[in-house]
Amino acid sequence: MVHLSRHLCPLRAPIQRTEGLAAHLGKNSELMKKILWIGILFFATHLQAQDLTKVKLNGLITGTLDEVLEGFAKQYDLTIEYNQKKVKDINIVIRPFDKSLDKVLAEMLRKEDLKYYQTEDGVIRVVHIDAYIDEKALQSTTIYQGQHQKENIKVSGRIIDQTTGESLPFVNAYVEGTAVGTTSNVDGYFTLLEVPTDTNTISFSYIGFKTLQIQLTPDVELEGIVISMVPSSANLDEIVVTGERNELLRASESVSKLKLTPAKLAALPSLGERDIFRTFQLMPGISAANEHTSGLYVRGGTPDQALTLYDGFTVYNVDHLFGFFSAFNANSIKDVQLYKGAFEAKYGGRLSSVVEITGKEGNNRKFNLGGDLSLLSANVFLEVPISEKWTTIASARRSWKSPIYNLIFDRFSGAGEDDNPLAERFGSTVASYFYDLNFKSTWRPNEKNIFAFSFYNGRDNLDNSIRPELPSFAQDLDLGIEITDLTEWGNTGSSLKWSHRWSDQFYMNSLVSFSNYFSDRDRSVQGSFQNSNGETQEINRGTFENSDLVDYSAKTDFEWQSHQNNQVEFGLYYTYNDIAYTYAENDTTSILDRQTDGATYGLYLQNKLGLFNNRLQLVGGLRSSFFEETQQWYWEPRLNFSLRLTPQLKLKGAAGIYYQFAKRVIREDVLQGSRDFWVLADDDRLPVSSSTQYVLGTSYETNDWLFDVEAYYKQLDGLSEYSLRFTPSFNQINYEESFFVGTGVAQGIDFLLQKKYGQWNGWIGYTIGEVRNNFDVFGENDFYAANDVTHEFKFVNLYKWRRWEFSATWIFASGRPYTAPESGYQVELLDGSTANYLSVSSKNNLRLPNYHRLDIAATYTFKNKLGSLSFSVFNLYNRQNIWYKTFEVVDNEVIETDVNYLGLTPNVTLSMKLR
Amino acid sequence: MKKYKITLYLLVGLFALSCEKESLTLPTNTADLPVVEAYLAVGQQAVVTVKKQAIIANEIDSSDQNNLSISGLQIEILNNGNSFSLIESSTGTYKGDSTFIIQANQEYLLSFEYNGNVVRAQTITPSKPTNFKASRNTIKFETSSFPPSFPDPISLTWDDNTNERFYQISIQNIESNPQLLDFGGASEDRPQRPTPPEQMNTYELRARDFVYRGTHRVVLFSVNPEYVSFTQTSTDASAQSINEPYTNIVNGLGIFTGVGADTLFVEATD
Repeated sequence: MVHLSRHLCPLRAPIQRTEGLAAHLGKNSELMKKILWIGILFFATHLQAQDLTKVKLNGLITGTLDEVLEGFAKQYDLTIEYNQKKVKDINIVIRPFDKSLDKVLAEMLRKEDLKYYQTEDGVIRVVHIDAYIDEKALQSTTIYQGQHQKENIKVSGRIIDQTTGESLPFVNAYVEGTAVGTTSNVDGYFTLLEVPTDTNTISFSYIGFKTLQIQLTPDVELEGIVISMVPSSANLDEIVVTGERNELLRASESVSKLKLTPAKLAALPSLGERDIFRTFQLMPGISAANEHTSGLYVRGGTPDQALTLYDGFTVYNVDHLFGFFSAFNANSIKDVQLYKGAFEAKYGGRLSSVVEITGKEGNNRKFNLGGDLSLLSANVFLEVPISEKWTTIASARRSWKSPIYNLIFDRFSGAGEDDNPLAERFGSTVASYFYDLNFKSTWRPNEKNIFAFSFYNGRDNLDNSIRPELPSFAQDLDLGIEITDLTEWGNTGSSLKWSHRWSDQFYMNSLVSFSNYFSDRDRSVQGSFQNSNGETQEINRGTFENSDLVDYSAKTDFEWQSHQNNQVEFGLYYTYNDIAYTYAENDTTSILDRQTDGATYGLYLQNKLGLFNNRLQLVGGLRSSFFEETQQWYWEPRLNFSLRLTPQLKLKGAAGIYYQFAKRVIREDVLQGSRDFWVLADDDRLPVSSSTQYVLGTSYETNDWLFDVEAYYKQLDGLSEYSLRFTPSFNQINYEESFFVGTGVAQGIDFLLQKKYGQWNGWIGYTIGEVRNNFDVFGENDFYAANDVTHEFKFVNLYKWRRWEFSATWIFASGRPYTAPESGYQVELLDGSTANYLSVSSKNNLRLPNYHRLDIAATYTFKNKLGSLSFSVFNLYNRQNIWYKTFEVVDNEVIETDVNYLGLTPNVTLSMKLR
Repeated sequence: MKKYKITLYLLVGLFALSCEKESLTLPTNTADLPVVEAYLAVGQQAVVTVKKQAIIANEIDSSDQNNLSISGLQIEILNNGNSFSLIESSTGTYKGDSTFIIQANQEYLLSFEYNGNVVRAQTITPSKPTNFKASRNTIKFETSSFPPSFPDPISLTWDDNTNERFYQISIQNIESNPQLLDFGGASEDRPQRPTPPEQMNTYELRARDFVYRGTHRVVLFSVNPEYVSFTQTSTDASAQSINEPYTNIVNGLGIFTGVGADTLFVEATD
């Protein structure tokens, strides 16, 4: 095995950053620059390396830094590269006395947070002091110029993160100047078949890492190589003239697919900690106007229609603290991929989108410890390499009763506005919190096998109960009324994975997993009191909601790279769900008590094919599932394509049929706000949901800019809603009959304009869309779904300045529809008395005001790069956005209350790690 | 380069066109629907009132109900192929003429146009209850005894062999100046509510059914299931949840129902 680790100057390095060098040569034309850069890569070896130690300096040297560098270059016949813009304002005064040039340069630059290095061909490069320079790479940059010896060869290996030894999934690898390319699999393995010669250059690119180019040479082994990639750390200065690409999100690779670097999240404003789900919500097509859930509303879909996989197990709820934070700790996440729609046959069981999260394996070289502390929670992670082949990582996070936690809790639990006399007299004495834990252990006994065990547990306890604190003398008295307002939920998930590489071309991933989600809600009044006759009466009134969901799954996925441009993937899966839900009023009246269990199993087959020199990529697949409850097979054909018309311009499209067996049902509550619960579809009142989707789009991408537009259309069937508004007559209420079935349509266009790199970067996202539903019970016409947002606009700005990174995001979304009691009437009854009737508006006929807010953040990275300090302000101009409205009917009056989202909320986060 | 840009613009334009928003035909909002109140009593003239709803500012019943009446409607009732036009007798109240008397066991169809929609309803009238009798005509309260003793109930009976029809009983004091029955300070003035509609053919009038001294009118209503549903879905003065009010009116709200009634009188004394 050969350890290749090289860091070359890429052909496509941004030309404007070479001003210094170009100026030095006195040729400033575009052509010259291009020649120059090609030259560095291929013809630059003839330059003699200057020995800087032999040049001695004496006397006074003064001027701006660019003048001084230019002077050195002319006087000693050097080639010095630097960013002229950045150095022209730096004034230098030095008085060296018989000092060698290397020392003078180093000292002079260090004062300005800069340093230099000399390449093999003698070029001196001035870079930011934090810039990572791969010494080994520098020593081996000799370009092989001999003849190739073999043709049509196979290159295979594994891609890792150089700093931690973690394998890197989904890295793009392609042979430069050809159409040969591939993507590493989830465990970092890649195989390139049909590489034209053994002197080709292979380029590896991965979001959050510097693009790496490896030139093959005949004497290098081609199979089983390990490619080490270097992270592009957040605060590298743009002076660095390497292939650094400092992206946070990548949106252009294939149809409706987004990639995200957890490591780079810190730069964006956040309420608490870095949050992958909140970041996705800044992209077009994913609604950001839902502070109350971290779940993803993707292209008119609801969060339950988004499949969330964490190390292979399904996560059924992604919320912490009323949904303001996602349940995932960014410190334990390596890679996240999001499919906004029309996803591949490999994934199933959901209608709208897929989020696949791969957890970190942990550093396999050195022990590491780190954490974050914010005004909301504390977070710690620990990486313990047991051996080179066995790594473990654990992370834990817990909220603390900080001002921000209290603010959010009080706002949304209603504690702040509670005018309950008991609360005023005795106060609320109970505590609320959330926590989560992640643990992963990965064992690679050899290059063919990987065993990984991953465990997640998270829980929220939101308690707003009132327990009277009686004075001690009264403690013996058996009286008192307790008001309980307790919401608890949590997830536990675990997976055990075995990956086996049968050959370079045939890979297998087998997994068994477990997932549980529970949610309990108790809003009640209990206690006892003495009635006027002196008898003690017990009361227990209120609403009780309990839900419990269990998922046992097993699956095996195979990847077979049959030809360079053809990959076959197939697999089998089995899932057993057991879902229970009860909803009761007043302790005894059970309104709904459901428990359904059943298995879903099936198989899929898909083929990825590259045609016309890989200009056209086609993925066709078929998924087939058998659902026990309905005793039926469901067939799901999927197809997606991407056609590269020019290097910049791409056309893409997809279509598919999707089924969902475990789903969330909205329980409509006009007065208190609707909620939802999970159920397993059955053959009766809760049909299997389905959707048919079409996506068509195009993207135009240059080095620095991306313009992407995608139009989507989704037809939805078998949607469910639960409402007690339509109780059947004659007192014979069968609550099971209150499930209603409907259909829907979601359509829209997502626009994205992204400036990918540079000191200032960011994007503008805009979506125009609509979601319509049609449920017979709500009338024969369509109505707008609760998650319908007509216009949604996002403006994300990131600006780097020295060690600081500033960001500002502005979000605007049209108001969402809602239903409310809107009018009333009185009717005289037969006996002459009158009855009052409150009539609720047509379903979702009203709209909340538009949602908008501005968030800002500033992050300072410490000099040693092992920590950062972030300041952020959420909702800077304190916009009062409305979450939902509640209504109370008191003495024939309807009292309307707005439940608002968070106002201006500042936060500070300190992050530290050992290495 | 230019060529590609043009292609791009074309593509974007194409998407914009292909996804042009169809405007959604929303139903008439519930708040704009008219409220119909019509009890077709067997043996009597038809009376239909129509009004607008009060838009909730704060109180449901704060608006002057008269201002809500809908005037100028062309209301027709159809029975057995005959169409009867109603005449607006006062604002928002429409009456059939004296020749149009509601018959038992007949289908009646209501229709009129409002806000561009045809408001429709249908009902089948029940028969008048037969053989409505009381076991006694007087109920005597011993208000001076302590503890007060309660009189035996009066049995009300009527004929119904089907056991399927719904009946409702309303008891009303018809004295011009009613006096409370005096139970030595424990008496209270409370509204006399009708019984909830039930499937029954007998009812016992008990002490609790009386609040005042004097003559009481006891009415037995034979009501349709739609009326039962309608009364069950009224909104409580202080509601925890909301029911969709029942209605049998298409493109409207309220009730259009046939009813049969018989009356007798009972004397309460002490």
